[in-house]
Amino acid sequence: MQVTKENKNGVLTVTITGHLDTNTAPGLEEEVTSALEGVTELRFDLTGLIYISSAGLRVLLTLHKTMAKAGGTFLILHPCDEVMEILDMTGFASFLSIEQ
Amino acid sequence: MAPIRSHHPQIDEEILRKNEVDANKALIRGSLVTAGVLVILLIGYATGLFKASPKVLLYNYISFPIIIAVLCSTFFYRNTKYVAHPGFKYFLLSQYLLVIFILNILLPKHAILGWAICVAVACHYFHPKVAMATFISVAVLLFLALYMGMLYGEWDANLLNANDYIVLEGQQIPINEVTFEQRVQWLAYLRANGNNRYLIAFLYYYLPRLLTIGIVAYVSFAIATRASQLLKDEIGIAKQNEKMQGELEVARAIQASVLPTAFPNNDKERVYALMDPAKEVGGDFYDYFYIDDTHIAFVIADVSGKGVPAALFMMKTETLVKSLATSLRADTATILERSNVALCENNDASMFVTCWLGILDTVTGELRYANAGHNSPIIYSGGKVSFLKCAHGMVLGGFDAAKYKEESIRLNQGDKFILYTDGVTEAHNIKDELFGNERLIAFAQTHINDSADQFVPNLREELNRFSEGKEQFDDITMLMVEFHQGAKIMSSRSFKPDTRELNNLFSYSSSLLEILNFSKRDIIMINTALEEVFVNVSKYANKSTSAVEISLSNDQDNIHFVFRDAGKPYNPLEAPETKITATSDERDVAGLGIYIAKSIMDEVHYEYVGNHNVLTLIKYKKY
Repeated sequence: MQVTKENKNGVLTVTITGHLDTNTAPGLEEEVTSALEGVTELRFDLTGLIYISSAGLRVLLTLHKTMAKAGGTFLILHPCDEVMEILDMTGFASFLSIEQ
Repeated sequence: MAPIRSHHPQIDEEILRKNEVDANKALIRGSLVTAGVLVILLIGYATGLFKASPKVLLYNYISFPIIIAVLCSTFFYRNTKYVAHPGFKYFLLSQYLLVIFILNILLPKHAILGWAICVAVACHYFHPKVAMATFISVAVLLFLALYMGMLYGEWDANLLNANDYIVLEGQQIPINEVTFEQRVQWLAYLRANGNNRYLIAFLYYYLPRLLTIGIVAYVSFAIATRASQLLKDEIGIAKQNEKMQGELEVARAIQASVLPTAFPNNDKERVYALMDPAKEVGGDFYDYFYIDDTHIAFVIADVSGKGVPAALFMMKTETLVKSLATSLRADTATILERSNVALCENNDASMFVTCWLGILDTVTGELRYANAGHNSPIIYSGGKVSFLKCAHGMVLGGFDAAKYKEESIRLNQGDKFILYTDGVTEAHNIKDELFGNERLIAFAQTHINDSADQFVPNLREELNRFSEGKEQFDDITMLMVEFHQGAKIMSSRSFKPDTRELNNLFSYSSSLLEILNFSKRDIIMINTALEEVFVNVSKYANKSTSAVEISLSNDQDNIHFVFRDAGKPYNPLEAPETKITATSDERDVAGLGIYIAKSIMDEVHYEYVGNHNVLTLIKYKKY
């Protein structure tokens, strides 16, 4: 998994490529949490993410809660079909804002 | 066997009540017979066949019809409720005693035996007090009847010390014309001459007869006591038998319940079996059970002897073989050896059992088997029906150092084997011919294309036809297995219960799934499911085991992933279900992983088999 972050005027865009699984999810959580200072909108660009498991979903859920508490926005961008299927299957698609 | 004494007051009372009705009816019959005899007597007097003095004749003509009427009246009681009334016996007995009393007065010479009837009949009531009261009544009435008879009854020369006449005051009077006053006079005359007839009659007439009746009473009482005891025994035995029969029925049900009756009829194997015990319970058994996902064990056995002892030994054997086979996970020879040792322990009854055990690998078709003195099964393989080559080991329970040899054969798609006991080959017909091996093989050859659930009943019917209704003395048991190539294990690999193994698992599963032409999407989804399960299993397994074995197998319709670990029993499927509709705030992610795995796979099963957690994930192939 590779993670790149770009912060533009309080809009943090996190681009993830590769696998988000049990082993990589803790690293993502740490990296994003540390960069949330002053962020009003958090965007995950999942174009390059080909795999997500419940561990990855857990990170997304934690960050979604953090943003909601701070009154910020949380957005998922361009998930691939397989990732979208998992988001649908688990009901995450019903409460996350997703841009195809 | 010692007679079973009934000591149930309830039973005793019931018997007495029933017997009393019978005794009352017997006494009614006796009364009627007595009445019949009196009718004959009357006819005898009327026709002059029997002689009596005019006075006695008059008494007879007056009293006999009354007595006959009284005796015959009892006929109308015979089917009424009075017959069952406790007081009715006193009524009947008193009536009969009175009749005999009157007869004895009138006919001192002939009626004496009537008293014995009274006593014998009274004993029939199995009631010591009734018998005793009757005997005392007889003693008193006999005494009275004797002296009244001397004065009023038919002339008895013995009583009155005379021949055809008496001589009073020099006058010769024929005995038939002696009046009551003359009899008294005559007796007084004899007494004055030192011949006290009253005393003599008491000593030489009354006492010997009373003694005889006493003996009759004693014997009747002894017979009645014995009869009542036999009756009680009989009822006790009948009740015991009834109870035993009930218990045997329960035993039969228990025994039947240990034999599997749900037969697999799936893609891998088809099985059908039956057991017909010769008695309520039998010593034969068949069994089959899964040892793990890909191994199924088949057992057939025949215990020496029949009935309850054989059934008990059969239950012991069945339990042993099954538990050893599933827990040891050893070869069939070892399982039989260990079973044998256990069966030899304390085998005081010297029972033994012949047993054939086979374990079929449903993936490879390999059938490994060992034989403890049982008939060779029939095998259908390569288009030929034959007896399976078996080393005939020692029977189980014989001696504890017996060794067994494991052999094996490879079954192919559509191969079959038939297990049976000697009740099949030794079924005999009315000519005492045995069904035998030749007939069995011949039958198998012509019916081998029957499915298992047809073949077994067909063979049973063939045996019925052969034996032509002759009762079979042995249990008849048979089982047929059809093998259909099952899942093929492609690969199996051990992983440490550590999430760092995840990438290895991914590359392992992906490479195999690619070979099986799964799409990229399916591989990603299946891997997601595998990760969820692996992470979950590792989390619990790493405390108690060092490896999780994952095997991947497929057949034409689906693909199986089997996770096996030797950790403590843990069923991840029992984790609480996640609420997928819950919103972000209330969401708890526990259980989400297993939920994902269940959603992706088509079937997920958990089992704890042979000290292993076995989690099977199945994905159907889509065309």
